[in-house]
Amino acid sequence: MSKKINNEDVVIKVDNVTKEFTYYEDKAYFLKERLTNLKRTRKRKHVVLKDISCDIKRGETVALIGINGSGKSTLLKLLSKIIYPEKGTIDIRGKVSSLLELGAGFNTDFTGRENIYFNASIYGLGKKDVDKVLDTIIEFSELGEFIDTPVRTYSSGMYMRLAFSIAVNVEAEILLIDEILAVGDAHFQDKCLKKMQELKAKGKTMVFVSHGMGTVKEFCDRALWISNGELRMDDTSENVVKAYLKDQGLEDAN
Amino acid sequence: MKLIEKFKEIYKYRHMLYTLVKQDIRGKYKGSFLGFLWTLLNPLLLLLVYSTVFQLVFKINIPNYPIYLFIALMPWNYFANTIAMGTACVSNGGALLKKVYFPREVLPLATVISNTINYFFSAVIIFIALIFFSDIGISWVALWLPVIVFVQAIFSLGCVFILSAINVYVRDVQYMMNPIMMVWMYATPILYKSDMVPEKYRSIYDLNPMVQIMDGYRSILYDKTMPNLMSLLYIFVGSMVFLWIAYLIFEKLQRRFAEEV
Repeated sequence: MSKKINNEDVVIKVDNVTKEFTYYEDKAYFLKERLTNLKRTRKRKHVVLKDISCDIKRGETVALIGINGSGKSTLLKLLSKIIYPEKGTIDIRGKVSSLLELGAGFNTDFTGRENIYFNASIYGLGKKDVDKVLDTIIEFSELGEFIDTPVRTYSSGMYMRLAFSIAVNVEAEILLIDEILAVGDAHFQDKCLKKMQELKAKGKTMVFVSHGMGTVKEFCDRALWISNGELRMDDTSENVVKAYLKDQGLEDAN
Repeated sequence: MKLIEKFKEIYKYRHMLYTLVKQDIRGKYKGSFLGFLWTLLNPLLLLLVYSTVFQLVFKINIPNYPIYLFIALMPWNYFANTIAMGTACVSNGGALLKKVYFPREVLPLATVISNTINYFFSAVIIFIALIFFSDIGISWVALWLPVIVFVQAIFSLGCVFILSAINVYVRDVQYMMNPIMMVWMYATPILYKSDMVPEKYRSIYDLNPMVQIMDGYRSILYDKTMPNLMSLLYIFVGSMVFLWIAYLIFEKLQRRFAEEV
């Protein structure tokens, strides 16, 4: 059994988490390949996260920063329980809405409206719950009459707007967001940020991966810098961004 | 109590289960003109072939043979479809598995439930055939139908838990199932009566749980007699134990689903 959260305010508790991925040079999906390659298949183990521990409190907005491949997204996937750690435990309190990839659960043959119901059901919402927020979602997505056409006819921008609108309107307590503000036009990006400010004001807990240091400083209270799978720094976003940019050989623009 | 927590979690995701089932049933024929009729056309064609061959060539001596066949062929079809769709249900759910958390058990459950509902739709055709196209008619014992379907569904769910989980790691399973299901069909009383099996093979033959299930369908619909409740009970208890083991296997393998699909 995992250790239970004792402190009332801590909603995410990550305790000595280590995650390894096994890579096969030539992955055997079929039995024949498994048998013939028994000895030849070379496995490589890659430790993506080493002994990470952190507590995140209710209402905190935390950014995960670090260069590509440092393990940020892996940590976010672990938090959303899509993958499991090899060692250590993760304890989460409250309803999680994860925006790892927008519109992952869309069925493209169905209309936008039908997909709202399906997508929201993954977050545990029933028909009645969706009916209550349906108008808000449609309005936020700015899809207008396209809401009743199959999703396969959508442009990537429309697709993303719909997915984002659903994810932020499902009333989750904890939001896990993976680099999604980078997509969409300036107008919609701005709208997303406003929505997130609103959620923050409502006391939602948010963890998100971002490369936009300006946004991180402005929006987050706290930042975790992950480097080579290790937690290198855990401080206020201002301090972490400063140190990170310095390390990257870039001076803080502002 | 871990199992109770699991039930609670699946209950929390009932809306997802519901939409998956709905999509399965409705989405299957989206964009096709005949829609649901396709679920019937396939077995009806098989029925035509089998009853022609067995009546004209093999001269099988069972009155109302087409109906006799139909009563067992439809549930078999339901079983075979559940296994085929179920085996691939996790490995086909790639995008969803990698990006969103939900209890993975929802996928096998949805497959079994949607196929069960499909069977009940097709059962209407069986009743129509019994009343209008034969002099058999229906009797009150037909009310046992949901019970037998339930036993079959429990057994199928066990199979699907194991097959779908292994198929994520070894893709051969989905191809292996085709010939296996064919052999299995001939080892089940569908084209013939279970009494026709020679006594000395009976002990091996009866190890196939589908034998008792098919005999059950035949009793209530064709012979219009009570099903053999004792053997149905055995199969039910056996299936529950099997389901429990299958669930444990699924539970063990599901931790790495997102990395393997």
